[in-house]
Amino acid sequence: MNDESIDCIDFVTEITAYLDDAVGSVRRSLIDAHLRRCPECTAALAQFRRTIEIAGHLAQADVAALDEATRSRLLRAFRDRPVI
Amino acid sequence: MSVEYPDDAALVAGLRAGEEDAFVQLLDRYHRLLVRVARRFVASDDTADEVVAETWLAVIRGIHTFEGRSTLKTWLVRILTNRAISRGVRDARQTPFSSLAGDDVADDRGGFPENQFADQGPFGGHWIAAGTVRRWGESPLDRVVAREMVAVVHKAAAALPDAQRAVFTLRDIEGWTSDEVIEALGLTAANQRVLLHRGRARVRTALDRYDAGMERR
Repeated sequence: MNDESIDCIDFVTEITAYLDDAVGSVRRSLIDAHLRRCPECTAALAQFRRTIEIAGHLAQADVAALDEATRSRLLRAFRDRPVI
Repeated sequence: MSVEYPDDAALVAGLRAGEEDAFVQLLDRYHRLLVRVARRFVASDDTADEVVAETWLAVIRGIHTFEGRSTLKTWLVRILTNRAISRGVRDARQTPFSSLAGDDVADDRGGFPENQFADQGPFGGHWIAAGTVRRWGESPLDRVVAREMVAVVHKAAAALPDAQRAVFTLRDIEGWTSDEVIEALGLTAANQRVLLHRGRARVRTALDRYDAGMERR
């Protein structure tokens, strides 16, 4: 019944809002009910979740620490800053 | 013996008092974050390093303007973003992050093509058939596949339009909250969400293509 109020083509536009809990409580329960009955929307949501999970691994890519020359230059600038 | 600053408030107080230890700890705490973010905002690593150095100089000049209404992290990235925009971000176009380029209808649909949905009849607006949405390999990924998928995301994220890339970087790569991203990039809540959704849609589509290719192997 309620399931009819959610079109799959609408849900896919709302996945990010849904994941951010920004859809409102009524809409959210309609979506939850829809997801229980719609394996395709559930799969679409799973793809988004997996995308986010994999993206999170990119932050672990290490970048070099501050090199000593730049560090000393910045420290000098800090030391010499005009006092307000 | 150097002083320990337990949190950002203590750090800011130390900076304002001109304590060098505070500045050293500020660099230790946030330099890598700024470099990671800058590399996704501008075209080359060299430019990124310059933008980060400019950001630190701006921080030195402006620490007294930090009011503590935002977090130190979002304040720093806000300064970084302004430096990056003044460099033309990626490709010399002066694109304010708040602008929404075009109406990317397919990306608004999460990147799912319109022809995957029935357009009329009792199932109008619903998926055209069971199994339309690919189930990505859910089994524990071997290391090679995992590394390849991370590489797919890296490449797809790099190809996003500036504003989408900025939001996707902070939200999904760095794991920031929407409030932090809104603050750092000066966006409205609605724009932030649209940009994130479109960015995710494109990256998801790239992963979907990769997954389809794996199946054919």
